[in-house]
Amino acid sequence: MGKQQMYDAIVVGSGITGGWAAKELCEKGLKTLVLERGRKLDHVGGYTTAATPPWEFPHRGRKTQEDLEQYPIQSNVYAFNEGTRHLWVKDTEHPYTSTADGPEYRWIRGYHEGGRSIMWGRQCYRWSDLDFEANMKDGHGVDWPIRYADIEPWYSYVEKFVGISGKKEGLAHLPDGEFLPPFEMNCVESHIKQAIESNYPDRMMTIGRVANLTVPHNGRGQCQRRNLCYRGCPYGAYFSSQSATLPAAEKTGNLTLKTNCAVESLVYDKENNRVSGVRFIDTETGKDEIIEAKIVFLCASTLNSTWILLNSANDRFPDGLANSSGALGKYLMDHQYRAGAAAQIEGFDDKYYFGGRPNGIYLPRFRNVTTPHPDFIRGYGYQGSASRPGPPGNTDQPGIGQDLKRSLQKPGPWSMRFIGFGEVLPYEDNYVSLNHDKLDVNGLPTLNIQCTHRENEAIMREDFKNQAAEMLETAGGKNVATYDDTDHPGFGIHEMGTARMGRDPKTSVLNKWNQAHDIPNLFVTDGSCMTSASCVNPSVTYMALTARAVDYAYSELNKLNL
Amino acid sequence: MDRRDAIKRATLLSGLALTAPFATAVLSGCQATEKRIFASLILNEDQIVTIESISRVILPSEPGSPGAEDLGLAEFVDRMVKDCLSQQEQAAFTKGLDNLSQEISDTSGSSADKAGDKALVTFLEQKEKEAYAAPASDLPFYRQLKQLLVFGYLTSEQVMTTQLDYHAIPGRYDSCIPYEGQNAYVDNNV
Ligand SMILES: Cc1cc2nc3c(=O)[nH]c(=O)nc-3n(C[C@H](O)[C@H](O)[C@H](O)COP(=O)(O)OP(=O)(O)OC[C@H]3O[C@@H](n4cnc5c(N)ncnc54)[C@H](O)[C@@H]3O)c2cc1C
Ligand code: SF4
Repeated sequence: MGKQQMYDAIVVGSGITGGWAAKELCEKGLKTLVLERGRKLDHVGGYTTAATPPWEFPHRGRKTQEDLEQYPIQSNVYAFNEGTRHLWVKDTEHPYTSTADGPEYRWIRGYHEGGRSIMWGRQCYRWSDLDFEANMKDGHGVDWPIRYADIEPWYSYVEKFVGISGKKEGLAHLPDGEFLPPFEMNCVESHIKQAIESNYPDRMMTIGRVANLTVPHNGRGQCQRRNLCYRGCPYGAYFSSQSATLPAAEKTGNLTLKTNCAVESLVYDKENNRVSGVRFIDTETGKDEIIEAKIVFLCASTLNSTWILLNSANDRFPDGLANSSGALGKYLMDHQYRAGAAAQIEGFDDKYYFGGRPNGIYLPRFRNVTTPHPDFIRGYGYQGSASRPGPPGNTDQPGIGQDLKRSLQKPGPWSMRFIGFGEVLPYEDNYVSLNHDKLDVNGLPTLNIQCTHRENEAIMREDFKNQAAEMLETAGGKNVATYDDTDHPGFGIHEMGTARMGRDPKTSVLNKWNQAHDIPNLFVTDGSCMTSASCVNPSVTYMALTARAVDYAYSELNKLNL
Repeated sequence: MDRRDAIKRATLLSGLALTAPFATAVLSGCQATEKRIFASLILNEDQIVTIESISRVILPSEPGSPGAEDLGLAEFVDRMVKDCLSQQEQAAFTKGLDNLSQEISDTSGSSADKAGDKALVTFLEQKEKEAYAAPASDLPFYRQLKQLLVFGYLTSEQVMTTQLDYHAIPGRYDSCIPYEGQNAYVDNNV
């Protein structure tokens, strides 16, 4: 086992949070090493399918039986297809065990440089005090150690760099950000918005706030409306580590990024109560190495960072590093979704659109905002869009011959769909632990994930289906139908918790600076830090927390506190 | 020697099912007649002939608008069935094709390739009636096959680039424009 030179900081993971940590640390002048377990994936050059037309795929984009065998979990993701297959982990190579009774936990991952910043849906919403005060008010989970005022400047800071298009609406519970010009709603979406807002005083609909550039921004090109983001953007027109944070880090000359380096544990210096470095496996050579640094940022994604801490147990911390509280691994959360309603919308046959808008609409939370709902706590929001089905999705059409060929060329009737995203409560017994008897390719323990959604989630889910249907009816929709594809925990791909922040070191792993209560030079800034789940997409909050944590770590380093 | 015999002989020689549809004139009619031959992956020659015969009628070649034959849709279906369906689904699919072929000879008195367009149109119109009256939850085989043919048709280069309003790089989003019967907008996102 070799030991290598000292860096100021080590960042584990190069996804959304690792990219941010790297940029901030490097820009502060710290010599920073990023360790990424996956392969190198170059900006532009690595997006091998970014311009591939459908006819060049042997199966025109569709999944094969081989895909289902090798990617039994990942292939369920809507963004998995022949054009993105290479961006998901092979489930056969990265196994885990999951909930025995009830729907399986779906752990959705991409192990390559940039992580899921390449395949993410880019929706970016600020959290508010409705979220940061939720645990304190209803007693589920522990209180967040921060409030909106603590993170607000950091939202602005990251948004200005990321480039988020959106419309200011002045809502207290979905605060406005530093927006680029918004995308536009199409005719039917505008109609539905108007119908909902004039019938429901407590509801409004806005265009999705999305990390796609509607105008050139910070040297990156503007979005060409191809709606092909999941394959990587040759224009750098959506936020990813490759398009934005890693180049900024690189520019400082302080960045070293090593791919194919899977971190297996942190090295603990008992005498000084610090993390002295990280131990990783070079996945190409199988060699084990240790590299040292003054501070360590875990940004390996929620469950991977927690896995690293659990796998770093020692005699001082027998239940996982920095786990004197016993909270590590517990309180796993996600957003429940894949249910809502859809309807046909008549009266707009003479209207259409042009272009592939990589965005939809957002209908912010209205439950338990001002008046308590009698049956459930917390709330949900909706994403959605209106469209006219066109080729090649419109394959199920009656008719033969020239008539069929003509009808296939035309767009179909308008329809509108709402998809609910609901908050999940932090339950102590939704947890992860290590399988010491089931090892991975590197001979390391695999993860055991036990997670179920409960009564509050189920009641809320019914409500968000019914309210979606009711709103569509109110807007004059025809053939209104609710739908409910099985809710698999994890499949919201917003996995959060398992190393939560909190005020009390006895009940939480991290303090209000994402710093381990137990070990001052250890920071965890990915979704594992989350104390509650809110109902809005979390990644821009991870970014803000990461930038904020680096700022704090840097000042502590300067004060020689770390 | 008719076509069926030619295929049989070729099969005897090579051990593979071969088909040789003739591309009809496409677009301006200047494209040369071209012979397409493929080695089937899973379907037998009768099944391929059945697909070819009915797909010619479902998605006919027209001047300036390619049809099933020009696009090699039988080969496409063969590949999709081989690679994308489970063994169980494959068995159901090939059985469905055999039944379809049997129904064609029962109603028209001759095999699919000899039945002639008129008989096939009559047959398919009846099939359409039954198939689209069925609930979508229990998709009749005919409709499954047709969906696959239509999918292959719509995602082919010729159809996307000449029959639809295809834009690899639209460059803009017009959120609300008049619809005056124009062809549907499509891009690379399938
Ligand atoms: C299809 C899809 C749509 C999504 N849509 C949205 C959305 O609209 N809005 C939103 O807010 N979020 C969305 N998300 C979620 C978002 O992608 C994640 O929240 C975000 O990427 C998390 O950032 P991260 O840095 O924690 O993890 P990741 O981006 O996953 O990066 C983690 C990195 O760490 C590496 N790594 C893991 N373990 C190790 C190890 N042991 N050693 C070294 N490296 C390691 C991984 O290879 C990876 O590169 C979506 C996700 C998907 C898949
Ligand atoms: S839709 Fe826009 S952001 Fe997405 S890949 Fe295309 S050009 Fe890039």
